[in-house]
Amino acid sequence: MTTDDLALRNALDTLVPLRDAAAPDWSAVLRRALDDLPATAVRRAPRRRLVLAATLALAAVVVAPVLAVGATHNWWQARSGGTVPEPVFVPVRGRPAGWVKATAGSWFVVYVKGGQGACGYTGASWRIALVETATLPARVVDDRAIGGAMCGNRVAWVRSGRFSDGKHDEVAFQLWQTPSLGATTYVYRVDGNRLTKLATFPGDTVTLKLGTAVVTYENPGRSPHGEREDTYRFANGSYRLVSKR
Amino acid sequence: MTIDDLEELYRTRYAVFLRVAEAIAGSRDVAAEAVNEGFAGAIRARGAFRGAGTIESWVWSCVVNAARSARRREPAPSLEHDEAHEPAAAVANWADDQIRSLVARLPERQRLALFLRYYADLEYREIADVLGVERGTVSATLHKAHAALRPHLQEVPR
Repeated sequence: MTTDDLALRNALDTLVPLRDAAAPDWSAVLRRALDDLPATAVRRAPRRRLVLAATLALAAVVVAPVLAVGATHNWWQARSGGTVPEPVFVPVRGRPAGWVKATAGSWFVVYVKGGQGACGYTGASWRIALVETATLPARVVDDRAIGGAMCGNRVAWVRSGRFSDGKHDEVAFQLWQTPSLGATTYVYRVDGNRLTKLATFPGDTVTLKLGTAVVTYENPGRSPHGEREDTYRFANGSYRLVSKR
Repeated sequence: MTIDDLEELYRTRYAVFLRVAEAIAGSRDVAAEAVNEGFAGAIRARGAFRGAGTIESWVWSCVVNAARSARRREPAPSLEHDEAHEPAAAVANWADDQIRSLVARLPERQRLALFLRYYADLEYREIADVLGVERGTVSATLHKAHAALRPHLQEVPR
């Protein structure tokens, strides 16, 4: 430390002396933080329990019929075993069929918008959305159409990771048209608040590893050139077909 | 990062957070509120912490912003020369008031860098994370602050 540093430090010490601080009050911090969090994430103070109970009762009246209709129409067929997370359910204007935490502060959602008929997909469209949850309330920051929906469609899986070059957050999902038509896998990069499409792979199974995508087909009749397996490698910003067998 | 991590940081470094917040906000009471608000903000937004920099420097940015907001809401004469001093005390504290006045006249970034460097003992890299600038900018900022204060420090009788 130089003489100047010492002189400055001494001068600043007189400005705001280091005094014995009052006892830190962590409970005050928690109260302040929790007061601004969503109801599902906090322990509410007793005086709010009545309001919370009334809200839950009202929500049950409104949500129960929606859930019943959803079950009838098999809206949650792709993830029937899971509960739709609140950041996905609330801001997305449609029926979530698959979701994954894309980054520390965002969710990626595959959902169906519109539709009617026996399966709920007639006239509907498949869409994807990026929901930002870093600041509450959660909000959709990117939303785009994938294509028309039809009965028999199903989201097989949704994943997040760093698939292409290992440096960027990415998401991928596989959408089955029907068993006879096969499936398409989509890979998107999460670029801040934007989704950028990296690739689409038609094929029955797609295995994504760092820098490669292996697409296999159930039989030669389902592939473009009669092959059973295509291997793509990521280079210079895109996936390129490097082998067929 | 868990709430337990934040609690440990709060308990172990509270006095230092309070000191920096007081230097920014100008009042002990406002500073205490700002420190609590900064940590509360860190709890609420902990999902946004991406591991760039240390947890401590990220929390420092929350506390510094809370203190700056508090100062905007409740402007305090803390660093300016306080004309309300008793005459005798004013004479006795002439040197302190000189320093207050000098520091108060520095640009905000220079003041914040000084407080974080000398009150919180943060490294240049950490100060850069808190202020959202490059490390080199911190170095230049502190150099300018030193240059502005140095001649006057030598004149201030201690």
